[in-house]
Amino acid sequence: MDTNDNGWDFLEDSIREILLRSPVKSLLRFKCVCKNWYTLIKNPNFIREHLNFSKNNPPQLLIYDYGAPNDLPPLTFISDNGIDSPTHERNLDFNFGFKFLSFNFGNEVFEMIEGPPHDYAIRSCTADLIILDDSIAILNEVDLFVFYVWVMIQPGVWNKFAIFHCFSSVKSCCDSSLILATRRSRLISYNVKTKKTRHLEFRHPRLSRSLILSDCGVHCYKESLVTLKRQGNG
Amino acid sequence: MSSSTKFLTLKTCDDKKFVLDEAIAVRSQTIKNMVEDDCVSNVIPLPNVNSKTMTKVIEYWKKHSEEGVSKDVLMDFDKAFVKVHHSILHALILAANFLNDKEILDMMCQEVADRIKGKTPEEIRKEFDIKNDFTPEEEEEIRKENAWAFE
Repeated sequence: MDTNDNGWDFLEDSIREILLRSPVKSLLRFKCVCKNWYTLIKNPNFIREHLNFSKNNPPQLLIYDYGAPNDLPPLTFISDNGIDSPTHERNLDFNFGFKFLSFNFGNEVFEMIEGPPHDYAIRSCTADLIILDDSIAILNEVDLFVFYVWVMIQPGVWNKFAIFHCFSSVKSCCDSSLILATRRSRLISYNVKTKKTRHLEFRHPRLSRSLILSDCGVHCYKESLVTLKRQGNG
Repeated sequence: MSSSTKFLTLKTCDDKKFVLDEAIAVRSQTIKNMVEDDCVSNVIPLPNVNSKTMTKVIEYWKKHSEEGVSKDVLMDFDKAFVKVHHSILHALILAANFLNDKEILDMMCQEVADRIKGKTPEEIRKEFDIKNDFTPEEEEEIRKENAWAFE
C-alpha cells in the first residue's frame, strides 16, 4: 500500500465529518460541487446527524417586532455572543397541580397526563408548557416573580427541577435556557440547569412589555437540512 | 502514577523517532488498542504520519495532558493550534484519522468547515481536487432549487 495515494481516500472519509460541521447555507451551495457531495448532503442519515451536530451549537434568536414602523426591518437575528454574569437565587417551596391533554399525531389519540403533584392550594399566576432540553417542562410562575420549573421524566412523572426568582419577563426557551427581557429592554438568558445568567448584549425598546401585551417576540431557531416535504414517500 | 512511568517509541514514516510517556500516547485510540492488546514491541510504526505532523500532535497531547491548566488557557491554545497552513491541516486530519484521536479530528474538521463555509462550488472543487461530474443542465437545476444559498 502506498501511503501517498491513500491521502485523498482518507480525506474522502473526513469530508463527511467536515460537512457535518458546516452551516446549512453552505451545504445547499455545496450540493453542486459533484454528484458524491450531492448524494451525501441529501442523505436522510446525513441530515439527521447534521441536526444532532448543530444541536451543540448555541441557538440563534430571531426577534420579530410586530409593531415596527415600516421603514425598520421587523426581523432581527442575533446569536449568543453575550457575557456571563453573576446570579442570585433564593429557594422557596410551592406546590400546585393540574392535568393536561396530549395528542399523539401518530395514532391520533388524546391522552390525559397528570401534572405535577399538589399538596397545597394552587397558587399559580401563569403556567407555560415549554421544551427544556428536549423534555416537556412546565414553567410556572407560582407567585409574583417566583418561578418553578417541572420537567416530565415520563408521562405523569414530574421532577421538581428548579426554583428561581426573576423580575424579567420570560420571552422564550431554548435548550436549558430561558430567554428573558429585563425592564430596561435588554435580553438575557438564564440557564435553569447551571443557574447562570448571560447578558445577550441586545436591546430593543419594545422587548420589556409583558408576554401577553408584547408586540415583540423572541423565537429560538436552529438551522437544519430537514425539509417539510418528505422526500421519496411523498 | 509517577512511580512507574512507561515510555513508548513512535516511529513516523520519515524514520524519526519520538519517545513519549505511555499515559500521553494512549490519547490515540489506535495506540491504546495496541497497548491493551499487548502488541507493542519496542517501536510503534506510524506509516501514515510524518514527523512534522507528529510534532504538532504531540504538542497538542502534552498541552491537554498537563495538570492544572485552566479552560481558558486550553481554549487559547486550541485557537492558535488550528491556525496553520491548509497542507498541515490536511495532514493533521489524516494523522488524527489514523491515530483515531476524536478530539483532534473534531477540532480540525470544524476548522476546515469554518474555512470553506463561504466558498463557491468552483472554489471547493479546486481546493479538494474534485471533478465536476454534473452536466451544465443538472448543475443549473440544483442551483435553481437552492437559489437563496447563492445570494
